[in-house]
Amino acid sequence: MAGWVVIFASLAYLSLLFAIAYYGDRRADQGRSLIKNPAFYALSIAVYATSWTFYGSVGRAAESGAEFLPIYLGPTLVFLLGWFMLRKMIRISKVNRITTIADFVAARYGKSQLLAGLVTVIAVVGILPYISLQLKAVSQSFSVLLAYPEVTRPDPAGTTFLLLDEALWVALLMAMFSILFGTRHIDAAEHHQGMVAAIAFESIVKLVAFLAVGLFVTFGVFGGFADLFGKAAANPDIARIFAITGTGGISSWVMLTFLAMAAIVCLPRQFQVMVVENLNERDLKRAIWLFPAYLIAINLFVLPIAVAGILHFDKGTVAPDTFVLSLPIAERQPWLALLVFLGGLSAATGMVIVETIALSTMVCNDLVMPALLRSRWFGLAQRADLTKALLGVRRGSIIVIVLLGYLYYRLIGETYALVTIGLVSFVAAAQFAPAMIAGMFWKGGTRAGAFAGLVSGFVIWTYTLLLPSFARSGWLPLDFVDNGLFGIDMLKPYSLFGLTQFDAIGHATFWSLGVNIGVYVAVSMLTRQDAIERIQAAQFVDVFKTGAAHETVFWRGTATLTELRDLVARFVGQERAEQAFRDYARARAINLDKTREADADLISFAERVLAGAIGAASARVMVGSVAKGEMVGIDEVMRILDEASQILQYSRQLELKSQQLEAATRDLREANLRLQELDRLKDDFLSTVSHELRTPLTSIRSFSEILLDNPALDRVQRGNFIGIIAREAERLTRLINQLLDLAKLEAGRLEWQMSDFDPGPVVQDAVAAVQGLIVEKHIKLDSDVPDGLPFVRADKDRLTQVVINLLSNAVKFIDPGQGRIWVRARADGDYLEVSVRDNGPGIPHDWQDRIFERFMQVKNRDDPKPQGTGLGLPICKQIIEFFGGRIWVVSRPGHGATFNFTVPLSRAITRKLVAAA
Amino acid sequence: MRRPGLGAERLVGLFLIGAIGFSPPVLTLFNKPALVAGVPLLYLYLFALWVLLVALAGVVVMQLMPNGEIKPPPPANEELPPPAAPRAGEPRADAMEGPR
Repeated sequence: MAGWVVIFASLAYLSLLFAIAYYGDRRADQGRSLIKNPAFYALSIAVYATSWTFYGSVGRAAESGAEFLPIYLGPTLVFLLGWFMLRKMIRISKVNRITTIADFVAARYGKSQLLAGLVTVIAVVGILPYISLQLKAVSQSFSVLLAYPEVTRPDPAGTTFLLLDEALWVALLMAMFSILFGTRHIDAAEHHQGMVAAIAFESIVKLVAFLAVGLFVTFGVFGGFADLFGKAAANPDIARIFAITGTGGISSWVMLTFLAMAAIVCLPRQFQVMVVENLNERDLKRAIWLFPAYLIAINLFVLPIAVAGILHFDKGTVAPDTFVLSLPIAERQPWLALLVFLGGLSAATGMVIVETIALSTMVCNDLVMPALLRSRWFGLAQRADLTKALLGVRRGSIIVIVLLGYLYYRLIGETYALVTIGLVSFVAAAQFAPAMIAGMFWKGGTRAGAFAGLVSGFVIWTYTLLLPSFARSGWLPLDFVDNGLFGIDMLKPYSLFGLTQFDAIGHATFWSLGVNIGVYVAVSMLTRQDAIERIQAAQFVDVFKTGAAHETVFWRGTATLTELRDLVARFVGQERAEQAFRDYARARAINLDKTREADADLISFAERVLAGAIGAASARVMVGSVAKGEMVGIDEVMRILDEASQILQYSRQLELKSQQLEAATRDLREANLRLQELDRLKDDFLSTVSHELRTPLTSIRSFSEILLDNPALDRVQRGNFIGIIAREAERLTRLINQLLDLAKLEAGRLEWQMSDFDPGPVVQDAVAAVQGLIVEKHIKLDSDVPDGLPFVRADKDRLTQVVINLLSNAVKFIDPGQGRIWVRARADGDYLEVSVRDNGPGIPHDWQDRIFERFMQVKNRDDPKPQGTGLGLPICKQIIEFFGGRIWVVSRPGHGATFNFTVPLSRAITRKLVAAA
Repeated sequence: MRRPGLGAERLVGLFLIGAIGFSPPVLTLFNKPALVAGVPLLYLYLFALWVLLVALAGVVVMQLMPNGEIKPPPPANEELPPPAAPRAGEPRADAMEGPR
């Protein structure tokens, strides 16, 4: 393929990137953010997938199978914890205006400049190999693509004449992009929205390119997954990569997962996109699943491409790192190859741009500025505007970092595969994890502990990974790698103290992180925190509890307002400083024109504004230089913190109380409703009862009056009337008896005569008792009560009462003439079960439970007068439950009803008693 | 009342499932160069678990409110059913009448 086509395509692509970033920045300036959609946030986090993923994963898979996966499984796991961890990190950073990892660590451990500088050094040294990896990938893919239609191995790095080396030009273009869109103005807490938009776009491009080549290889060149893997399975040499086999195998798997979990949080560029560029904490919700989903998508075709590459090319003719590109070339697909090249380019540029912006901020705030501010000729006496200087330092450091990366690539790059270079950087970045993550959840970590942990981890990383890589590239004698330092076997960098269980990366991870954590914890426990460390520790760990109300840092001294304003203006520019102070005044409704002395609150506000520009550590030093007086002492801090936590506790108790109150109110309201209902039922019942009582009374009175007034009535008539009076009196008695019965039952004052008896005759007696009614209404009754039923333990008379009640209920509601009733008794297990079925109108479903409640009667539309007292079934229920059985109804409206009840058998009760004794 | 922090707890639960599912003891069960449905067994397992975790995380997260609680269900109808209003036209009552 002609060189100019590739170069033209690359330039066109980069121009598009510039255009998107420019547009994104313009929209942000107009206040109409382009990246409001949370998907942009998730996609920008996908800057995690660099050219290492794009080319290197396939290379790794071709060599050692599934071992490329932990690098993506680790971040997935971290994002599942994201709601706890990442959200806290974002909140802390927003409250404290933290803009880099160095700032984060320094701010947590008492705004220490020393710590910030250390983190910066580790980050720059550690990440350089990673940047060089991107350059290597771009240059490799460029030379492979140029050879189209030949399939070649890429030229070894560093063999091209410097000015003709495309990697150098790509590096400089990337630096230009970072400068244009990463260092436009100085308040780094403001977001680089244009840059984020461009990065999100690049994430889409690289995913599309990778999926395209994956689909093409799997379904275009081969006949789908089964075909591809089937052919590979035939060759045991290839089938080897279907399982985890690499050096260290499965124990390295764990180390790699840990490593990736730490890296996703600790890599400077991930911190930049996840924390600093986060517009809204809610965006994290989308990212929790969308980012892992992206990782799944971009890994789906790694193994198929690796397998296809091994199948397709003779061993050793093509580097596995370039399979992604070589396969389309070998298949004569120039456009696909070009797309792949652009995908790789976008993966590389995305990483380099974000990484250099993050690193340059660190270098500027935590290395260069502190040094400049200390030097006399740049001293504080001058009132010059320093914003230009700050921007200049950042731009300069971007170029220096990119060039250092290029240098590393020229010197070392050829010795390693892409993945190994990247992992070296991962281990370096992972060193921040103990200080950062423990710092968010454990107040006890001290500055000395963090410092000691970081130093020891970094030293071990240097010895076990960095120096050996120099040695293998010929820049150091190889002797110490093979035989150990000073010839001591125990000090071999790849098997320190004889540890050989892991591969080089796993080995370095284990020792560096293990020692780092151990030293951090141990030293933290042996040293004490000073006042500002404690304040900061509390602010970090309790960020969700204290929130914005607790932002105040405890300056006791005062400064004049003019001094303070000038100080801020020197670093963020006159205009922005004015704006910040105006906003502050408006938010607190004070007039700054009348203020001369700045109070503690205003001083800490100025410090936070400065922190956004030059980092927490430098900001504290600068503010300290104008604020007279000192930080408050440790006792005072503890008192203030105590008060704050007490108030917090009170408010939480209050909250709890009000919740309980709400619940109680709700319960009361329900109880009240229930009471009202019961009250209404009672009224209904009273009117029913008085009606029932009055009816017989009325007839008794009227018939007795007739008898009184007409002594001359004939015998027959008199006999009739007296009979009516007697019957009505009897009805009256019955009604009153029922009322008394129920009252006694409910009060538990009824006398029970419990005995063991044969239930059969009892049921028969009850049937006989209602026989008169049945005959009168022409009802057919089937009784199925076998002889010799087992004995039950109950009160004979009460049981009869229950059966009679059920039968007379049935009689009452069925049509005379067609009515049928079935009575059935059976012994079932430990119980006697009796059922009374009729073919009446049935009971609606919503009434089937309630008819056993007192006073509940289903009323008839045609006859609103209730047909009974509403006491019969409740009495039955009380009786049956006293016996230890239960009563229920089964009914389908229109198809009759079946009342069932059970009574325990004597033998079952005896058995239980024996068992209990 | 819903327990505070339930949604976040569910995510931690998913994390634990993932941490165990991707751990060596479990992986060794699947670490065989065998093909299942034309796909290497190990990869089939890893990707299936991976997709499952992410999908479940998506479901949980969609219900997450800013304070980490699960969204409450739509407010239940506050009115109780009209107390003991018997439906007309359904003639059935209970009563206790002695034998005549």
